[in-house]
Amino acid sequence: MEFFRRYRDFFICVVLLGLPFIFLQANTKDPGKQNAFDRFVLRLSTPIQYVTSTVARTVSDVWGSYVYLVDVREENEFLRMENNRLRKLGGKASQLETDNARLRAMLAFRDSLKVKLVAAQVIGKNTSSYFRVVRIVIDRGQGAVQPGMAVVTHEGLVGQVDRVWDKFSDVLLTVDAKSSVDVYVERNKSRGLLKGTGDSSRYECKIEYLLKTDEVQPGDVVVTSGMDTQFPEGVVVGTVSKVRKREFGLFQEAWVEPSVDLSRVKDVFVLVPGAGK
Amino acid sequence: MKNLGVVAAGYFLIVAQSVLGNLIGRESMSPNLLLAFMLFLGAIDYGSARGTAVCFVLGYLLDVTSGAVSGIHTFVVPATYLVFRAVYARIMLSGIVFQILLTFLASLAAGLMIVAIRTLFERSVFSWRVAAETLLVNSVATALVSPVVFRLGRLIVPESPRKKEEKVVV
Repeated sequence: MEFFRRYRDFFICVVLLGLPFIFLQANTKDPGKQNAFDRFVLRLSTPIQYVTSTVARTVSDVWGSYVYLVDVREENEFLRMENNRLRKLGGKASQLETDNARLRAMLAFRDSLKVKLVAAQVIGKNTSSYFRVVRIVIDRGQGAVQPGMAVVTHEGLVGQVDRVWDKFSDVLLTVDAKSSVDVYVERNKSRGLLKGTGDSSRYECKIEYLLKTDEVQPGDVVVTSGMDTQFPEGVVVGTVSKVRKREFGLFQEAWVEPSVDLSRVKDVFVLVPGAGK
Repeated sequence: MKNLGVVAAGYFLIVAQSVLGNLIGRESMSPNLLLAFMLFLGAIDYGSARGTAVCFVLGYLLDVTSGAVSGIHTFVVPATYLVFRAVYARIMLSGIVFQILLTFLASLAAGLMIVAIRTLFERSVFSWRVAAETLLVNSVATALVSPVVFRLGRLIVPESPRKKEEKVVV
């Protein structure tokens, strides 16, 4: 016993250094020649191996994912900036395309008319409490235009020049209660007087003195008649949205929706009467 | 309890060196952290039987983790520990440079033992040039990280003051 106690450490070391050779023997033996002990030694390592490799793989995956995510974050930031830049460019291109289409249409409209036109830009809009445009200001004034001249776009009639001062002019829109234009329904030539309703909540006009015997229906296109000598004949004003026949009297009423979107009008033409191209 | 802490720390280093191996890509360049830790235990005289037992367990864990034939590291790690412990006790030098040098030599010796065992038991055919290159690179990597591992080891198993006083710092 005393002998064992004295050499205990030595024995433990010898056993621990010898045991691995049993493992090695079992592991390197031909599978056909393995005995029960060899199989036990091999089976012993399987669960430990599984746990160890799982932990190592998990740590490796977590670390790998972190490094990967750092790269992804940088790439994401770059792509977000690139996306913003391209979106701005796209917006600009779309705006240019819209402007181009509008200007081409206006050019075609100008060429189609037989009268002299003065091009003008809307530089100010007078809006009501409902954010409806009730009056616009154009960048053409004295010398170029005079009060009463018609203001149009390629989409149709906008109104007439009301006041002129210095280099600017005030335009009275067709929807203004003070505005009146001689018009007819394009389909059956039914004549009437177009007046603005002055309704600040919507853009709307009304045709008065329209004979009750004339068949007018919603969707009919209304154009200027040219009888008032102020507006040339055939300029589109809008479409009939509602018709009301009175029980008594000679006339009926028709409401017209302007063909021009007055809240978005940017470029207009002022028609110079009596002057050919 | 102390032994369990050492085994846990050793196991952590096995996992760390496995992760490092995956990240570096070249296995030879991945340092043998466990061996460096075992050398630290040898340097602080962790005890012959106790130290050999801990090395045995961790060597076995390294075998199953690395996919090596069970028994190779189970033998090499305790054997290197015992040799290093015996050598370190007889050398009156210490310090980082000496530590790195000794770790390099111990790692080289451990690598040679592995090559010898594999040749004997597995009858593996080696390209000696490749084996030498791997041994050298791995030993350098292990030696270079040894100061960090030794510092980590001191946090887990504090060195005895007597041991420090006896040595001349290089």
